[in-house]
Amino acid sequence: MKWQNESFFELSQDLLFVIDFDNIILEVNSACDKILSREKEEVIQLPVLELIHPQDITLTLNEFSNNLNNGKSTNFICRFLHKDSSYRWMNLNVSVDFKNKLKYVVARDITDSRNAEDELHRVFNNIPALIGHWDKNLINKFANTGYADLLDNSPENIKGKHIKDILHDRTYQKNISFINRVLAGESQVFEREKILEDGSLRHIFVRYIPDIKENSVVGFFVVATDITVLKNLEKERRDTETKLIASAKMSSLGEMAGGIAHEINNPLSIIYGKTGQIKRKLESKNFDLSNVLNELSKIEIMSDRISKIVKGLLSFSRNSDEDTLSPCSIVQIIEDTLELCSEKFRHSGIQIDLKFEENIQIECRASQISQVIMNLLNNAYDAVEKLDDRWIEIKTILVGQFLTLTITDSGSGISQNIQEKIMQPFYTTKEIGKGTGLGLSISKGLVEKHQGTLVYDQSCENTRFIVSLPVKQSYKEVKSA
Amino acid sequence: MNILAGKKILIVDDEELLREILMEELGFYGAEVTGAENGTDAFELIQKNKFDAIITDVRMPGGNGLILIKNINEKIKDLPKIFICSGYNDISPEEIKSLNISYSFTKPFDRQNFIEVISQALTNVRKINF
Repeated sequence: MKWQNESFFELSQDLLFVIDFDNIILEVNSACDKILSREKEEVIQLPVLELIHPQDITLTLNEFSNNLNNGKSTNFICRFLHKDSSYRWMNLNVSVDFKNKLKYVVARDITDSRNAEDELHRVFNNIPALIGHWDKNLINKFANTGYADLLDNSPENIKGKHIKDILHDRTYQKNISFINRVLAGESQVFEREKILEDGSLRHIFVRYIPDIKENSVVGFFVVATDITVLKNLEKERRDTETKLIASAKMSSLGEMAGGIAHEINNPLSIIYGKTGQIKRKLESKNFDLSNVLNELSKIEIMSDRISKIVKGLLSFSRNSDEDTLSPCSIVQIIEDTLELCSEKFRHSGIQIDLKFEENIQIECRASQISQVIMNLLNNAYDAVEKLDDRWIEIKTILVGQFLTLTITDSGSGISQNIQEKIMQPFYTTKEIGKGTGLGLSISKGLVEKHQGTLVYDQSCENTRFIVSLPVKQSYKEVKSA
Repeated sequence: MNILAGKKILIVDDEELLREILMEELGFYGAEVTGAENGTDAFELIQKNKFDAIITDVRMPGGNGLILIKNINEKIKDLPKIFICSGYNDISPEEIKSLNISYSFTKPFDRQNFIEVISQALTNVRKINF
């Protein structure tokens, strides 16, 4: 095969040129016209640096002198000036010919791929996510500006560094277990808080995703999102809910207030009356000791009744949201709740039947369960108050690992079209000013917080609500299964 | 002391100890006292006996006090003095007037005031040495 050096030089798609040790261009191929729109004559005898982007001149000079010093060919990227004043990204390969004191330069136009890369960076830096890529030796391969900001750093500075040198010491210690697990091939999800310079707190949701190549983990990706807005909304919702529950609780207490006043008034009247009469007897010095002692014990019983009511009120009204769930006797909870309202029922001639088949302890927040029972009893009271046949039955049964508490009243059930709405907040069939419409929806929420259920029993010919609560909170998976 | 001597008084209250206290108190001042635990029982007694005064609770199972008072107003010729004694604020001044109620005591009430009001209504004697 016969071939010519000159054609090889001329026909190359890459820009080829020869410069002397003073960096003056001596020869150039026709690619110069194609890539930079410059004629050969225009370029020959020109110092090559005049074609290079001012910001790349230092780099170019450094590479050229390295090249002279060690005699090896060098490879670097810099920008060349196009005739139209734009710049082209060129990948340069420079070889030295010491004998003739010449340098041979092969320059490949990489502008298109470089632009695509820039565009990709632009996209990565502008999407509202924090993105990073680490190899399995924990050397950074990529960080977008968002991720770099999170690490109080810049993408350029992070690239190529070990994670230990980038993360703050404490953060590294906190993250090390996640790092180990993601490198074992397991995606990791966690949350971090970051305090900004202005003192504001940001919530960051972080995911570590293994980078798997040919069945082995070669590194991991970091995708993090600022979820502060979401967190704040969630907190707002929780706060509103807490306030709502508290106010509904107080309003159901308000509905009971008249009854509670009466509950306390009767024993108080007895204490007053008996005390006065005993005093009179003692002053007359004409008394029977055993009779006086008997009267005193009646005062004692009445004081005990008041103290039970006060205890019931306290446990009902306490804000127990932060309480841990602890084993409580369901019978005790029901009895404490009834202390607050039994008189009201008795005076309206409503019979309360208690059927405690099982007296067991359930893991719960007693005051919340008491609130549920009080709400159901309030509803039952309003439903049967004006009926001829007035009764309410409270029953407990143990079904597997669940305690079933049913509250049935002598009403004749709830019509189908209303059934659907009763659990909705603010839905009420009671007259204005009497019900908030929150009792059932809040009760349902409270029961669900205990991994339980509150439902209306359609199969009962009377009006019955069924509360089902796990005896132990760890049995929740049994229920969901 | 026997300021209420000869007066026949009926106490209606479902709370046994309260009934006991009121009966003892009125008895101490010489009244002849009977007790009933609900409106229905009370009305039966009223139909059979003549009372100078009825003192009744309002909310009671098995016969509400207001119904009892209405019945007395409608069916008893020789109207006794009527007092109510309730823990609730559930009767208006208009009702008190229209039902011929002499006085409404609110629990818990003062014994001295209680006796003074009753005795004044029954005997027109106001001053009592306690």
